[in-house]
Amino acid sequence: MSLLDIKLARELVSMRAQVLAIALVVGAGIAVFVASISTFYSLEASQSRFYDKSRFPNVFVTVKRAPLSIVPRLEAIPGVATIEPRIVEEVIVDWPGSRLPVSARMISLSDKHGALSRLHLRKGSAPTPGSTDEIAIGEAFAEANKVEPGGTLRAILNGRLKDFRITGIALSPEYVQTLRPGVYIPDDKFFAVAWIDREAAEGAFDMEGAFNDAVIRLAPGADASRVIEDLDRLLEPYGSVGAIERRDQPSHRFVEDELEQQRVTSITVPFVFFGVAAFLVNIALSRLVLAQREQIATLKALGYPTLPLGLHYFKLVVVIVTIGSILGLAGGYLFGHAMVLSYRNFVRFPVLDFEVTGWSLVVGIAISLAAASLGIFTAMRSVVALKPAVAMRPEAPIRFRRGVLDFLAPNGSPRAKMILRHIAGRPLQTALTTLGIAFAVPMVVLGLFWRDSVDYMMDVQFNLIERGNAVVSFSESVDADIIRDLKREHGIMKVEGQRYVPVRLRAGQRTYLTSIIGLHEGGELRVPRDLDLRPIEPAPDGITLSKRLAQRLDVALGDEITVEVMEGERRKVDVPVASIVEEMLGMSSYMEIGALNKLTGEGDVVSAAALYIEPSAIGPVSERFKSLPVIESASMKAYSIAMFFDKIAGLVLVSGAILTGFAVIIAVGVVYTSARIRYQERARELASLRVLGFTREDVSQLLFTEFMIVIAIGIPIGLVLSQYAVDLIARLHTNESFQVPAVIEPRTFTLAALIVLLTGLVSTYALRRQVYALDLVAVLKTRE
Amino acid sequence: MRLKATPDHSAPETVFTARSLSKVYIVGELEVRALHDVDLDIYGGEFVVLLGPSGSGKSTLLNILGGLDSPTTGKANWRDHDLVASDEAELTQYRREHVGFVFQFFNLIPSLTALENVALVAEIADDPLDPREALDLVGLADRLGHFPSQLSGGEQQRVAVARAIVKAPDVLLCDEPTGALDYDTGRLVLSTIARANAELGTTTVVITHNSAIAGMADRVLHLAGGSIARIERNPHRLAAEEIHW
Repeated sequence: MSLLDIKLARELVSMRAQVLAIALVVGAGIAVFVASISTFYSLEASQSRFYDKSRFPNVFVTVKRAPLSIVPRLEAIPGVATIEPRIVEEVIVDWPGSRLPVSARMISLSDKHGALSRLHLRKGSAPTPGSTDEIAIGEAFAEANKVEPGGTLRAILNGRLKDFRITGIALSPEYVQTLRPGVYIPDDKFFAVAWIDREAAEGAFDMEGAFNDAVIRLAPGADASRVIEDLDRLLEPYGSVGAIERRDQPSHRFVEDELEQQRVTSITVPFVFFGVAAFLVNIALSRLVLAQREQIATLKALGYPTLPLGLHYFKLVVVIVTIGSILGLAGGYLFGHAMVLSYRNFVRFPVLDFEVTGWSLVVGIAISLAAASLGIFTAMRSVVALKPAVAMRPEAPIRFRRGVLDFLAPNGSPRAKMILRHIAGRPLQTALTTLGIAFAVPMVVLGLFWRDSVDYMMDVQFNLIERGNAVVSFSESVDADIIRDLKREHGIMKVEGQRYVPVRLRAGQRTYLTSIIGLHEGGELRVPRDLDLRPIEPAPDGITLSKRLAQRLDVALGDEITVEVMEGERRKVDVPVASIVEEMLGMSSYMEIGALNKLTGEGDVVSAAALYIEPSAIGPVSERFKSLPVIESASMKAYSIAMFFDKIAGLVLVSGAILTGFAVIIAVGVVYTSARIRYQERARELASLRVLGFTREDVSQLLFTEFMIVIAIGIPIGLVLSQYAVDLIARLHTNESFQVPAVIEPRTFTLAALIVLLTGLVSTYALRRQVYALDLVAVLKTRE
Repeated sequence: MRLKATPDHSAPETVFTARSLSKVYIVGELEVRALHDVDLDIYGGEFVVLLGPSGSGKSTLLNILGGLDSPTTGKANWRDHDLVASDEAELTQYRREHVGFVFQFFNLIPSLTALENVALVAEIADDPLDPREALDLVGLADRLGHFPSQLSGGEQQRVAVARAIVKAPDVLLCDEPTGALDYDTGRLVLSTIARANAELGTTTVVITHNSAIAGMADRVLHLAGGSIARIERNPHRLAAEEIHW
């Protein structure tokens, strides 16, 4: 072991608190980086493994009814590798004990070799080929309702009740996320996906020799849009509403959205964390080297070449980064594991395990090492650039001047002046310390603001826009008379008919599959809001788009877009964009209901109703819904909100909470290191004061006051920076499923400021020990 | 036989008393005897020079007298203050009320002007002099507003002397006060220390390895190997201007 290594080892021991603080900052940066990137890749890998294994189709098409005899012609379309005709029907389920109507989507299963969308069985087995009363059900519904194989599912098929024996619980790549059309919040308890044998389906739905749904797997290199054109041409006579590509498949779209968001998170958040961590490590280490200026100069004077000295300090960096990396890997593993776990009841893959992405660790360590080394080397260079004789002399004393801050305490005591001049007299150091503290604030805010954002999102969506407390949807478009009937139900205070029409919106090359919601003028239960959240009426002569939908289609007010209706006569109509509205969940569009019905060529019909039910009557009214066959599903606002918090918000809040934890670690690291450096730069002066008769408390207080002033300057700067950071992160996180409003409540600002202040108090308190241990005798003997 | 600096029959009041003072530092596995069985009395208003090579124990002795360090064995008293039994807070109190320090490397606060450096100490003293008066005493009445970085080494040390005497201490402890200064400046600083001793009657103890300074003292204690080797009494004290080295 060389002598320099012994020096290194001793210094590491004596600086252990600082070493640990810097290593923690490095570790937090690496942890967030590794966890985010690895979570993204873990999700992506699970998705692609599942898609491959289960043969997830590329193209999806729905028709009214087509004969199986057409299938060979579809198979002959160039680019089609496999096609699987299916029978898919929405049915109402008689589920004992459920508060609300339960519906299910039944899908026929093929036992053909090479079938598409193969089920992954979690429990039990698939329905036996040829059996007419066996059924497999989706895991989401099974979990939400605690269903096991062997149970019974009673469905209403063509008006007749039929019992199915549940043989298995399964996952399908088409239902990684089970969302009812037009609904943005998972509804696991009241919506099931179920699979039955093809023969059973033929019998149950009178579909012998026919199909109403097909999934297609493309040959490698095939052009999906060509295939879709051919499919649409061949299937149009059978009531096709147009085939869609994978990217428009609801579950896939949702998962892709989530992956995209995770990808953005895995880049932006660690970038912020890492950037700050690297910056701080850089500063801390360069000041650490500068503090050893005389030692370095002496070693140089004794004939040490620069290289081994540089290497010596580089080893210090390596040790700190190694400790940081170990902490970071451990923290990253736990954080990533927690994130992946919270994804598990949200996206259903057969296997979703957290795997650390190797390169993220390598890159994380490399960036930390580079940032830390840069700090060391810039400081080293400034030292070795001096002639040893010059460098061995103490640095020229800082030329303090009167004035800069003196006006704050014109008749102040020397102590007050000392504090103020120290802050103003070392502007660079003060600026760096202030900046370090300022940076700690947005990191904490970035972890905390999610709560405000989600609250705001909920408030806008569920208090301002959706003002009723329930929505029911009908199994088909029905005459508007039903609204009058519903109004007569006991406990229903208010009912407003709505019309949901599935459409493809097209603006030039851009398209988006969504629904248009038809609303009555003067409606009170669903109130679209403009960008300033003022209520606006759905225009009778145009379409109203949510802000994100308008952005997605790249259209502005007054632009024409094409509405392609995906049902009925499948009309295509150009309409102008009449207004743009704020919408937190999903990407909706609105029209006045009369205008919408005219557009689709229908009379006065509705397909859903928004309700306000007297709160005490919600139970009986829900019960009543179950006995009305026209009602396919009902969603209660309270349940939606609970589900939202459980699923989407839960995920966001969990990662937010963990990020806050890392932010606090960084804040502690930053503030402690800053305080420590400030103390070191003053240790001699403080010891002199002690010798002159100042008490330990006097001296601690001096240091404390000075540092608190720096914190008091840093925190407001940090609060301003927070708004920018949150704006950026919110913008990057907004996706199709929901918008992340860049809202920071005063309570969050306050909490972030308090956390940073507290770390400051704790850090300075920790330094009291140093003040208490000041070597008074040494002061008399050493020069500055 | 060891010499003991015990009271003289003609002596005025004794302010410092040390008996059987020993200090042993443990450095690794090595015991370093910095002081060995020292008996010492210092009288009020006396000007004492502790002379000796480095390692002779003079700094250790000064540190114990100044309440910065405690002996391993023995007794040390400042009037009725027991410096050995005092805890940290009592020692701080003692330094604050009775002791003025002058350091080899000045140890001024760089962010404070000359006047403010002096006022800083006046602030914590019970019945201090006017800081301006203290600076006038060391001949710096015209440099009040200068920061340490704007003062020469000699001027800085004189500010340090002013800072030490502003609280009208009972004892002035100077550790190599001229060690970092050139000849002329050194003499100027010594004359201010002598002046404080003469005009304020402050008991003054100066550590030095410069034997020329010994001529200024009432008594010179020669230290060697942790003990007092010799005591010299000057029948006639020299003024700072009269000494040469």
